[in-house]
Amino acid sequence: MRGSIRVSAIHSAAAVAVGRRPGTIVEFLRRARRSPPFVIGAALFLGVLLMAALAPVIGVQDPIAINIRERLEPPTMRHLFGTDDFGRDVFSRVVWGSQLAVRLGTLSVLVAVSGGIVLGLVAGYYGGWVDQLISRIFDLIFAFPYLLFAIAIVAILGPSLDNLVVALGVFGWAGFGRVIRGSVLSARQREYVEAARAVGARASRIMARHVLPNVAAPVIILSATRFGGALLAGSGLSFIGLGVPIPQPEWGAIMATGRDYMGTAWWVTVFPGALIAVAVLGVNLLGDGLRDLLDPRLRDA
Amino acid sequence: MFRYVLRRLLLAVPVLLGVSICVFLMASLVPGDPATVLAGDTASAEQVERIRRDLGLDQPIPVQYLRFLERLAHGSLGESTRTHREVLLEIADRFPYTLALALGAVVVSTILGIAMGIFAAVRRGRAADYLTMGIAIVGLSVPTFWIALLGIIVFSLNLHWLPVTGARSPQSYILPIFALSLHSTAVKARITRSSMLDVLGQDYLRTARAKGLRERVVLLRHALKNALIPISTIIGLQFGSLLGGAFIIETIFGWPGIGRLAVQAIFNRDFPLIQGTALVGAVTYMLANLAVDIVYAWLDPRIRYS
Amino acid sequence: MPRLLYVVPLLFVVAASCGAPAPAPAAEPTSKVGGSVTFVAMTDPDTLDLHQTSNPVSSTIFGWIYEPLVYQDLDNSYKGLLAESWTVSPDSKTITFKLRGGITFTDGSPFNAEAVKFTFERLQRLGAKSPIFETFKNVTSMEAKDDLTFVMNMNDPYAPIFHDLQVSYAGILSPKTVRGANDNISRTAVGTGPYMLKEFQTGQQITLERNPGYKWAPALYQNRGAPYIQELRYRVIAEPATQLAALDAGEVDVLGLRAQDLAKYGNDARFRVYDSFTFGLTYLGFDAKRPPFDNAKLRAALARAVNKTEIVQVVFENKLAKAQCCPIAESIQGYDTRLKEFELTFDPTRAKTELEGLGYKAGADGLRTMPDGKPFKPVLYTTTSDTHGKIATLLQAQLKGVGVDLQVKQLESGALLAATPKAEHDLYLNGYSWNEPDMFSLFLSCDRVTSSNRVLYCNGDLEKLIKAGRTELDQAKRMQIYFDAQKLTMQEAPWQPLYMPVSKTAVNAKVLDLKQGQAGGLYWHDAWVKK
Repeated sequence: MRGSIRVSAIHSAAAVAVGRRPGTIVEFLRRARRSPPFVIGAALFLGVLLMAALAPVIGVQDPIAINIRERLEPPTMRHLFGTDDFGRDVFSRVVWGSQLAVRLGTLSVLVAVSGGIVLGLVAGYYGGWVDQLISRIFDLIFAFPYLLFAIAIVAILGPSLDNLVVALGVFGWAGFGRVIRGSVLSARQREYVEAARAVGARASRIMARHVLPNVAAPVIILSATRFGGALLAGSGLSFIGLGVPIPQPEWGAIMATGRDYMGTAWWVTVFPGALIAVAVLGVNLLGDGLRDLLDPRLRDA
Repeated sequence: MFRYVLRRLLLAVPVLLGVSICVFLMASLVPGDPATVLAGDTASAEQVERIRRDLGLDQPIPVQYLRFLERLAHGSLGESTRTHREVLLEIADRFPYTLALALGAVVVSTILGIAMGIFAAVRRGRAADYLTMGIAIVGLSVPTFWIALLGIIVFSLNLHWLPVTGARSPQSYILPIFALSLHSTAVKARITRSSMLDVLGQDYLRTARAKGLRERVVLLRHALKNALIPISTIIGLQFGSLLGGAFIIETIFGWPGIGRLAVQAIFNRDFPLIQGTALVGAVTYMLANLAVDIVYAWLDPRIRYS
Repeated sequence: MPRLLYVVPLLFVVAASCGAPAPAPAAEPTSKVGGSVTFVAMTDPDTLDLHQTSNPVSSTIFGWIYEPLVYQDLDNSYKGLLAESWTVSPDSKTITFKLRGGITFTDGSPFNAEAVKFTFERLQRLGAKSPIFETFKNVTSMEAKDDLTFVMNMNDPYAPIFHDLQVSYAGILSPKTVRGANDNISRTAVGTGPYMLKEFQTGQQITLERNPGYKWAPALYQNRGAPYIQELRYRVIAEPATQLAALDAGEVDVLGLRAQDLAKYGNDARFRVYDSFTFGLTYLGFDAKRPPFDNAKLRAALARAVNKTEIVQVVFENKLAKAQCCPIAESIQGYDTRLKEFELTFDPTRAKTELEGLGYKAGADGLRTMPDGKPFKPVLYTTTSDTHGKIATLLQAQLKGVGVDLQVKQLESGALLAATPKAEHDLYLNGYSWNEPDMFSLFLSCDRVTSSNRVLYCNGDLEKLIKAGRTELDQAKRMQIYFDAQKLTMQEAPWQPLYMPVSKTAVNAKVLDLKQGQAGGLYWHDAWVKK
């Protein structure tokens, strides 16, 4: 039966997610290896993670040391990505910037997921006026002018990566919340959940054992997409000056410094922009691959 | 149907109220008020106080909010603290330009996206499919403002084909619209392709050639209709959020739209204008969503609304 | 920092003539009349009501429409524009202006003393946002003795009165139009100036057209009548990259160039580049109210870590700024080269020694700690402008060179204006733009500590000098006072002056006969457009 195959696929994914039965992880990876989007995406994403982890090794030149004599040099063997208008090695800045990118993406997703899980679970499980209230909160978050919120956060809390995370993460509560609520609603109708409730099991236990595993798949997939979204939005905010303080080499901020020289010193904007594209491409492909593997039926925008 | 629409509209009211309260709270928490900004760098403390009094900002926040609601009840969003013109007028001045971009982006991305999706779906598994979807996913991943700047450099500065700034000539619409439609073209292409594949499946590949052109067209049309449902969601969301203004693109192209107005309002601490733009954005977003749901019902009569 | 836009109309009225010859209507060579010149406006002008704004874009635009009573000459003396002459009473508190006759507003009504009185009384009533509001708080009464005699009575003598009367915010309004518009003149502008408002397209473009009835241009111009250029346009473009692209595409005719554009446009035959000094200074300030920066020795030590030459070279390519020694920039009256000996010059070795001596010892990582052992991480507040960002980056490196770990916080203007009076910051990077030595009153005096004095510096001795300088009308005595004030300021170091911005303005070669003043400012009244 199609339904049970689907359930078992989700359970495998869930098992992967909650780390229970290692056997199915191997099985999962075997299937994953044959999915081009997953493989390419994972490679790109892991590449970025590696870059971040190995930054001290790869980014040998000091990313913030100013060297006036070597200003605006095109890419050479010594400066793979050229230098910016302060003589700083762009390659090194981009490499160290990958740490900020990974941090930005991961933290935003964590903030978004935690808030979304709480809101979505509560809304979906309890239903009724609680659901109505939380759904209206989701509507509010979606309808709210996101840029105003970001500017306000930066104005109130000050410019920093972590404050950017807050601005981007809170926005994701609605996105994750809706999806989780949907999964919870459909899971609620399963017989075993009804049975558990009939027997009188505590709500939190039901949620943890029966509902959460069903939620794992869409959350994983959405996380991949939101990671990319956070990177794009974060670099956009940095570009207009709302992001990290000087002289942190966040990719969007590097592009902003090169904005004035786009005609003459294209490398300052092109390379960080390319890295952003690669990282986002990686997680998007990863998301696609995961979607195909975990639940092809979840394929919608 | 009518009851459904009514219910949705009624539900929108608390959300809009919530938006306006949140905006108000946020604006009051942000350091600096319109008086400091209007007074400028060289003003004395008395000047700032005097401006503050003239604007009614020395009142406590809840009082200011009530006065705002009062004005709203009379159909006015208040006056911009910077220009003293009606907020609705300031917005109306710029709304057509934003609307033009939004419509343009929706039309372009829908046509292009669907075309790409069909193209890829029909050639599923072949090189053309991978190439098209590859382009789509790259398009999704690239930062929009980066493409916009590149576009200016290539098409305006080097080739001199297109103007750089403003909304003066028909050609000036081309670059901003393309920049804005980049992501949604990619999304629609992917949706179209997967929706069509859902319907067509393997049968299409087998029977299409056998059955001839007419059957192919019928199958295609049926598949397309299936794709239109998720596509209309995207159109609704896209339209709704674009009407709130695309600040970065508008700044890069010197476009006199609402996005720039909204952000300038924030930097100027122009509270009435901030409220006005936020509410206009929220209203258009919700109306767009409602329209999408109505279109859902029209496209798929099986969906019932209670 | 307002760039070109502030300079252009402000200097347009600077003249070289003495006396006040009657305006002789000259026959205009009709072949020169016509054409248009397009400028750039960085933001939307908020309003054209000259009493209700301090926005430099707005003031540039209404500076073509409204004319003030006086203008500033090349030798920095003040000459009459709408006023023919004036006398100052012995106690220096009353000024009697004899106004020029035969001048009309573009709505047909006559320019007279009543119009002047009406204008300034409106400023006192509605002008809280105006940069010259405080000036007119000092004016106790005004009188229109007859059509062409206007008397102004002040509470205290006020030396900067002529500077304040010469800015575009002091332009004269037509009572007829203002009353007719019910005081709402944000989009209506009727003055005596060479241009009239033709069209105001919000967010896009403001168009001005020539006033054919204009006959009273200052004698420095050959053309004493209406201007030649038919239309002036201001295009609203916020992004510098887009502004440049517009210049390149011919959509804009006049633009201040940035350092990185000079190479390309400096040699482009399509444009002529004009250099001019600006009346402003950018400085690094220390929050004198916030320990440990209330210690003048610490300020002086940190000031010596600053390398102004490097800033001018890297950020401005040595062309768009000139390093400054003193609080009053060299383009402004009151500048004195003898003050150079008091400059806290770049001397990192000395800075390190002095910091050590004050108890700021360097740790193993080379970074200094405060005397109590806590890490020394001062925070610099500045604007979100690219230029300030670049300077801050350099300052960070320069201070690191002496072991100080400078943090940078860029805030948008609303937040910055609100934060500084609260003494939240340690260092402050910004500039002033005020063509009067009395800038001390605005930026370094005690009663502005909660507002425009953003280094919160309050020194009794300096305060006495500031007050004296403000009320001393004898020029020689006044300059001596400002010499002493600057010397004190340089020794106390609430500011480390950095540079005076220099404008390089690219103008489309189609514009001919553009005059330049001594400081380099552009004079447009003789200019015309080649067809």
